[in-house]
Amino acid sequence: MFLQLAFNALVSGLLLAMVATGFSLIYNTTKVFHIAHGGYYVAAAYTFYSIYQLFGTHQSMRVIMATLITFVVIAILAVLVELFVYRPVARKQSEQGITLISSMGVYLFIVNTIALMFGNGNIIIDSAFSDSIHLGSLIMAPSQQLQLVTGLISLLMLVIFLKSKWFLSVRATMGNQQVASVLGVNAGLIRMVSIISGSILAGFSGVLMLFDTGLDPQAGMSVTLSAAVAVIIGGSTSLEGTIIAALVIVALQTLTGWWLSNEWKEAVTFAFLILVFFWRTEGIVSYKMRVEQQ
Amino acid sequence: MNYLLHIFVMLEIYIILGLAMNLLAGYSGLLSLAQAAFYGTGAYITAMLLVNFGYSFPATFSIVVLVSLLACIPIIVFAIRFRDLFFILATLAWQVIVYSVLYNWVSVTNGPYGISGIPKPVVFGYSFESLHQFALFAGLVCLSVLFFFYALNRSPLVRYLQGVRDDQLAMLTFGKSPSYYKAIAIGISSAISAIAGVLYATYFSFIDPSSFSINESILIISIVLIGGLGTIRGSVAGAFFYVLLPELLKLFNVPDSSASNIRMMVYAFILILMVIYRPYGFFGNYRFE
Repeated sequence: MFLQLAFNALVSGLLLAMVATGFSLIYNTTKVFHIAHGGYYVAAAYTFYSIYQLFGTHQSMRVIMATLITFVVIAILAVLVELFVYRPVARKQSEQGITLISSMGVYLFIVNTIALMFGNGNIIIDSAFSDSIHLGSLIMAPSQQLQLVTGLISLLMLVIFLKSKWFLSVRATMGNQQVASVLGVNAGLIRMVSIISGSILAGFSGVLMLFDTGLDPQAGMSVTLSAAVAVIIGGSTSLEGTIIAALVIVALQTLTGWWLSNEWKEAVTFAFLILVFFWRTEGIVSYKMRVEQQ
Repeated sequence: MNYLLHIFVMLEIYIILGLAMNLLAGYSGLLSLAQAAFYGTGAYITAMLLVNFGYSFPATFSIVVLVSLLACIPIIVFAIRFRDLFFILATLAWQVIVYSVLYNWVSVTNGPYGISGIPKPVVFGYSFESLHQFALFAGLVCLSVLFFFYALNRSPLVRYLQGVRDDQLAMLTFGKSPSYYKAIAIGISSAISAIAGVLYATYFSFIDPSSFSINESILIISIVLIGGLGTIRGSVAGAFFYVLLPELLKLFNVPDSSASNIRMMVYAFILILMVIYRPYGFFGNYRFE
């Protein structure tokens, strides 16, 4: 029983970690508190769903097509938002509050467009790729196998990306965009790449959710909020901290679901955020930075 | 005619909410995502006092104002140290917690089923039962709130709040504590939003948690951002815009099923355009830079 709970928490923790690292990547390079992340999460799931329904019966063919097209659609969406919303706002050197508002505008726009096109109902892809795997008392459902593999692969790719030489210029942009661009880093390109890869991470998390419990157009907000809490708690500059915090948050949410009920999940997440605000404003894993306090 | 009166009542409620938000966002420079929590607290306390305990309306009204002043103490405690993003996050946390309590504490708030049968206001034996009378009553409340803000606008308190917004260091130099004035601003904003909650609960005579979700908070923020921060006419214009936009959409024969989505799309689009091209809103004198 306990093993099963822990395993479930680990798998959903990986999903949240995907969203949260994407969020962190975008937040640190563009300084936009990216509420629209939830929009990408939902948009990817709906794109995948409609392409998946479109292409006939050939199982692997339709999965590959849907994955590729979702990839492209999310990337295009991310580029559009960066070019037409975030970049003009950043050029005015707006405060973080106002970039957050613009991001909320983007979120509302995406979500309501989707709700207009597909309705407000729940969508789910109900097809078993394989059988459940039994390891002693542990049961791995097909959707969980998929989530585990995809989550681990994408986080592994992220770690490789973190160790690469190219990430040095990303870190420079995170630290100080102006100085970085003076020293010959193409900050615009880096912003673009971060937004695209962050959105794709969120999007694939959404697609994986499609195979599990399904989602509706409003599902993005709560996921984004949990991810944002993970980023803040994990120490906003550190991707490792974000992953750890995502796992901790999901463990906490699973325990809440076990003791109380699933509806209290968000309240507990945010109560935890408030505790962290009191206890360690700079987050669990932190470097020498500290939030400006007033 | 009844339809016009309905729009009129909605307008009054949103003007009050917009003014309360403007006190925080416009005068003090603190964007708060907890406005719907304040609003919902007011509405739920009204409903519980009137339905479960049978209090009279004037007593309920004063208790609601008092309790909403007390209810914002947690937010004052944990948000007062921050500005900008972290203030927004702290208020967001409060919003989510209040919403979860309203939604999940079934034995008290009746959860997702909401509370129904809230009586219309009766003040000193005079009942505001019909729509005309209620619109008049709400108009009186709205006018007094407007009058309160005009008076506030001329008082030194607003200068201090603007000091919090523009230069906290200068405030400290003059021996004024920014945190103290932030707390006052949050308290007043919470109480005024709760008054809007009283009107909402007694007008619809039914409330459920979905009216006080995070989306409502975002809408209230966008009302003042589109109308303009830092002026009274800005918030009023924003409320007009928000309430009248769906009526404009009706001219284009939008089907009812998609009306709310199209309305939100148009609204979000205008919000983005405003943020990029006109950060002052229609009538504002301050912008987040």
